[in-house]
Amino acid sequence: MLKIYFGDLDNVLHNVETYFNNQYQYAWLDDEFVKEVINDVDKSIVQSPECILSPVLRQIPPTKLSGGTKAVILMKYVPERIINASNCGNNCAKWILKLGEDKDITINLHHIMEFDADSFEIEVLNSNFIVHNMKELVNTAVDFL
Amino acid sequence: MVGSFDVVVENAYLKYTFRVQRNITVIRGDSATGKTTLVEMIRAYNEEEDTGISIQCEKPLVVVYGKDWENQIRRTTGSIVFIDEQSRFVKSIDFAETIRRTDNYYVIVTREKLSALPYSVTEIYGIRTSGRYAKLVREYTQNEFFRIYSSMSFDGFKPDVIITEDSNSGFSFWKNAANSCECISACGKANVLNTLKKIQVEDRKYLAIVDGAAFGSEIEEIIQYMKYYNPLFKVYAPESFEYLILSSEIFSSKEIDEKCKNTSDYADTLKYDSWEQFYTALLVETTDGIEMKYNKSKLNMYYLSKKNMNMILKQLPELLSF
Repeated sequence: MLKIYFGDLDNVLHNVETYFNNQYQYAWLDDEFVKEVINDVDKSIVQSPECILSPVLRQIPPTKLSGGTKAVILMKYVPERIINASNCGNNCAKWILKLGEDKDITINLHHIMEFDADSFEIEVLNSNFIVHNMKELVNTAVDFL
Repeated sequence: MVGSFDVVVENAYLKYTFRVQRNITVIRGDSATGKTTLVEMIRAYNEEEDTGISIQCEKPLVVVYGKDWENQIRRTTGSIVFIDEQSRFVKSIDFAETIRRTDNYYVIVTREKLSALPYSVTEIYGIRTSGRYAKLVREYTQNEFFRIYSSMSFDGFKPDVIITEDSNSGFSFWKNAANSCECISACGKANVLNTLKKIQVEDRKYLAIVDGAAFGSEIEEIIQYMKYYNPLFKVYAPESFEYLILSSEIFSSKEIDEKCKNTSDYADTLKYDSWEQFYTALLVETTDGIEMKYNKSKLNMYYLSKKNMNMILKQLPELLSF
């Protein structure tokens, strides 16, 4: 399940860019989920684990992916860390939800992310409520931001 | 710093064009829209030789980052300062204090709420790319900022309850002007949404009146709340109550008109933290010693005469009525 803590929290991984740039593994870029995220968010194609084809930046290494994509990849491969998902735009939200369908992941948010789905299950750790849609999420989140 | 500055940052395949016109501009939005690339290009331009990047702007563009941010800002004057989203210090009170009354403008890339900073709802931008973004073609990609919170439509909205950010002159005015509505003060911008949550009942319509010039940190949650939770809640965010008075027909002064229309040329960041402060100071100074003397704490009855109230209310957006 996806779990969210809104607001300040200790031991959160905030510096997603630098952490990813220094810790990513080539095998991560060979994963189908990761390739889909890169294709959808960065509009780019993984040609090989070392080379990604971006329509704007041309051929780039994984270190040049967007901060949001890096954050999602870290959520998958470093689930023991709580990632600051305010590095992610709304276009990453569906991928974060998808990750939460397969396993427990906890993220930290300092803004209200729009999860564009009719229904979902997200646990808001500040209150231990489980919310099922954006209406419930917004009503809960505003108390903690 | 005063003024409004056009900025162009480009290389062989990317071109950013935008205007910076207030002390604080916030850039947010979807991932992979080029926010970090913009900041990296400016940083490379400043720190390296023969970068292949060109920048056009009347003022220098500077990137501040890392642990030494405070010294970097203190050493910087007359510049437009860019700060990327990895910089946690932008949320701190120390940062808010350090940038106060400096001779710089600040462009901050962040999705987080910056409660300590007085930024305008109209200076929150995303980056929109045009051109064939998805195609692997070597051509210019023109990036420009677009405003995230565009003007709200009121569609004949007639509120039952008004919630004001202000608890002083602004509150007094709206309480009198909208006497068919209940009027409640939230006593501060951070309390507007909580006030609504405490008092709201089904089927009643609520209007929050806030000072748009410094309400930027609160607007996202309010917009989300309106969208998903309570569509019978709307927000009217003029620059400030003082701005409404200054730009009404109460004053027929070309000088005041000019300062309201081209505020960026007058609201010096060395003197004012926001345009809200500028408008208050201008109104107080302009009315000092005369019948219409303005006091932010207690509203002069002059502004509550029917004639003057109507002149101020004439500026309400179309289709909003009390």
